Amino acid sequence: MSGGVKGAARWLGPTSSSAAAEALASMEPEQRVRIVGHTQEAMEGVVTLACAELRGYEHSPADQTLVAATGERLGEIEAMLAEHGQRISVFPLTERQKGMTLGALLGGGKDVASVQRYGRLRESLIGAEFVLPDGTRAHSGGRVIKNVAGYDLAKIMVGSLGALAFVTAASLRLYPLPRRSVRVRAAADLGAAVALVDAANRSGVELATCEWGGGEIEFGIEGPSAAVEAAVTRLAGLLGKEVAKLEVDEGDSGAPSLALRLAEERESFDGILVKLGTRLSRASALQAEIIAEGLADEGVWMHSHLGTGIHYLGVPGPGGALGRLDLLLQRAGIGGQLITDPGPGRGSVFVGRRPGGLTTMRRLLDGFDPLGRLVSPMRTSIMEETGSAV
Amino acid sequence: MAIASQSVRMEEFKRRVGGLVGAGECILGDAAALSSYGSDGLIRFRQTPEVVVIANNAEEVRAVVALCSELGIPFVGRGSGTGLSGGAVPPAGGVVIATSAMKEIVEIDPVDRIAVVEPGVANLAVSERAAPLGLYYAPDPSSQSVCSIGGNVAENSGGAHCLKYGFTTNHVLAMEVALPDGTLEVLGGESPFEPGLDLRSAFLGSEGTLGIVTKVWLRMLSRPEAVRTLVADFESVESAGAAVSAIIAAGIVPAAIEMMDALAIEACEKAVGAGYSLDTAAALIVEVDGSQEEVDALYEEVKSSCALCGCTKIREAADQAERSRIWLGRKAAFAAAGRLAPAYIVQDGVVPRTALASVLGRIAELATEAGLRVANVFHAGDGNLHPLVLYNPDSAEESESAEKLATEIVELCVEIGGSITGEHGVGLEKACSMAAMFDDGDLDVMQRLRTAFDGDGISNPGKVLPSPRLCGDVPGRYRAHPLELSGKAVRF
Repeated sequence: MSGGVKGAARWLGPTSSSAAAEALASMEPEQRVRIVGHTQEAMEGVVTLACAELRGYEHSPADQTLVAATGERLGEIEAMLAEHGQRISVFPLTERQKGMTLGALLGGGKDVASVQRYGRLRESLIGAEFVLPDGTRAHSGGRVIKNVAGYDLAKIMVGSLGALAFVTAASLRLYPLPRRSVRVRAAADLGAAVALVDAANRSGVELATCEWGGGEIEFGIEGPSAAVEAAVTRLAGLLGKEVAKLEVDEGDSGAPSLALRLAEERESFDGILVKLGTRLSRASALQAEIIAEGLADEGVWMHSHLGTGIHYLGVPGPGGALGRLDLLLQRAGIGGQLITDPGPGRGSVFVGRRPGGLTTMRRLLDGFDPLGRLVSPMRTSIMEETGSAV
Repeated sequence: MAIASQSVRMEEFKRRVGGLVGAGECILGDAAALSSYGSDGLIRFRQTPEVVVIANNAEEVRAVVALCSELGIPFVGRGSGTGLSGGAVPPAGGVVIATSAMKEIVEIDPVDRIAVVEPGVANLAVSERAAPLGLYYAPDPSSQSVCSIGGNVAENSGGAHCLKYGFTTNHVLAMEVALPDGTLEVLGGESPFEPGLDLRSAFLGSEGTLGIVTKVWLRMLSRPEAVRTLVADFESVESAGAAVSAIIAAGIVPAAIEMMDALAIEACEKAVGAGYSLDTAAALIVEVDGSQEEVDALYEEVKSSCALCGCTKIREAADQAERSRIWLGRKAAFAAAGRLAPAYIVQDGVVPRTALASVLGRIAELATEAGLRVANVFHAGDGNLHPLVLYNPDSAEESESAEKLATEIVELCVEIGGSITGEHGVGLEKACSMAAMFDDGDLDVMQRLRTAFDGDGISNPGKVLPSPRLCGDVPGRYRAHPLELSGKAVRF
């Protein structure tokens, strides 16, 4: 196990699940612990438990499954699988995301453009191993793609922000790399983009990605070459253009896709990012309400994994914009979550309509971490929302 | 304060429940009617409930659950009762809350591709209603014409087409549920992302142990433009298995790949006359769907893969009617097993796809050792076996041999890295086998999750997790429990 001490802060990087369990079991009961990927940043009085040094994987190409320690870097996994003509369900990855650990992807519940085709990471997560804050080791699921034995504890780890357990390994269903992949881009405001997605869905074109931002829409199309060719022709028809005049990139052209450009913009944004979900058809109305509220004038912007109704709002901060956005979303009945640190003074990461089952979430935290050892914005938020002591 | 006895609490429940749902919606004293709710599709587990409540809406479900919570009375939610693991068997001294009358399809939105339905709606009814909009609901358990969406949520049901499209969990955005404390909550949202801990995923497949579903938001898909289906015959299950691997290795994800051995084919043919070859050792049903161009490309590759692996005959569905006939045979397989023997036990183990051939060989050896026949029909693409252990229930010896063989098959699946259940659920039947897959730490954490939803343990108790004493005892005549036989437990 690697480790270090910075003042009253400690950083631990266990190299195995058993080492993590021993470390947690041997700590003083009141010792607080923060779970991270590979960040070295320390927190005063808190042990930082990183998954970065948990390495190793078992890849079964013929079964299309991967069991990987959560310290494995996404870029390395991507490259290894590509040699076998396979991939995980999360793509395309920015350079920063390629350096991210599998554990950080899982705990952060990050979504990328492929959510359109394969759903969230939870949809391809078939098992996980983890350690509770008291050192209890456990697993759920397994390494077969179909399995309903017991509760699906693996999926509740996705997006839990380290509030439940230290995940040490994950089992993933894999997918074949497409034979051909193209991206079709066009200028479209959000209203036009929603109409295009609806038309594409009705046309029988299966979309691999569907991104909107900065006044552009981008459709990703994958499959056998002839099928991709036909899909592009259909999309051209929907866009009212000839294929020759359409902006089309082959997936292997090296040109940056809109999906990557938008993801990199979000990564480099120094304000507050809010992630939220709506029905597809509500996207335009939401944008109109943001404009009407004057938030767009204050610099609030919007990106979307449009086909799934998952949106990001960038809120320049500090200022009153976040508070007004919170109220707007509450009025609209839309639930959102901050995905960047809002800074001091704001405890909860929830904005807008609060999620259902908050009391059950608090009981779940009490069950998994009865001593409240884990330091997590998810825990802080649930405790605050339920009026409980953190 | 003195704690009232169970019988006193039940009398109190019976006195008050009619005021919640209307006296006509409660079955209280009709022994025959109550008995009909005593089991699900796995009839060897049976327990007559004290009361059956047929709820008409979410508020009634909530109110009855709240009354159960107040009085400490165990309950089980019930959809169509087609489950195959004893998951809907009532708890002793408990109440059945049936959602089978809640059949409204509240909304189907063709732009958002969302359907909002009550839990009693039949799986197939959703697709039928959505067909004019060019949409359908992808999970398709064999019982889809009768099984309910609420039951599908409880079991995280699969079906033949989940290889490409995933399981119920991949197609449910949100659920309104009556939690065991008598509150209604919506878990999940109208997009795949919802803030907070993912309780939606915890609830899906929890087999009624975390509460009762009262409304479901379903993700609908566009009907594929083209579908092509074939039946490929092989001289052995090994060569059929090799064809499955070859298709997957080519980077093709068919909509479905199903396999049947000779005995299963015989049963299906006797039952529905689907036109399968009776002189073949194994057959694959392979279906590809998508755009016309995609299907045209992939279908020829599937045929080539089958040919390279020694396929002896390919029957191609010429039209929708023939495709339906092919699937009718496959989906009737369980019921058709009754043509081969008076009784059978169906198992639901999963193995890594690459282990299919070796596992089938081992199952044949175990069957020979037990002196029993086993018909195999399974979802080959995802390694989900459905061995049908055939036996004569009039023979106590043969019945016990069949149960032993079925257990051995499941444990074989676990030994090679698989699962005890792929889609039927743990229920009562396999609760005892959970310890073969999960150690004490795993089960402890699952119990913590269960307690977070149901601190009093009143929602479908006795299911999923093994109970501490003689777990898996089947009601009825005394039979020594395996733990007794091994000397690890004594019955007082």
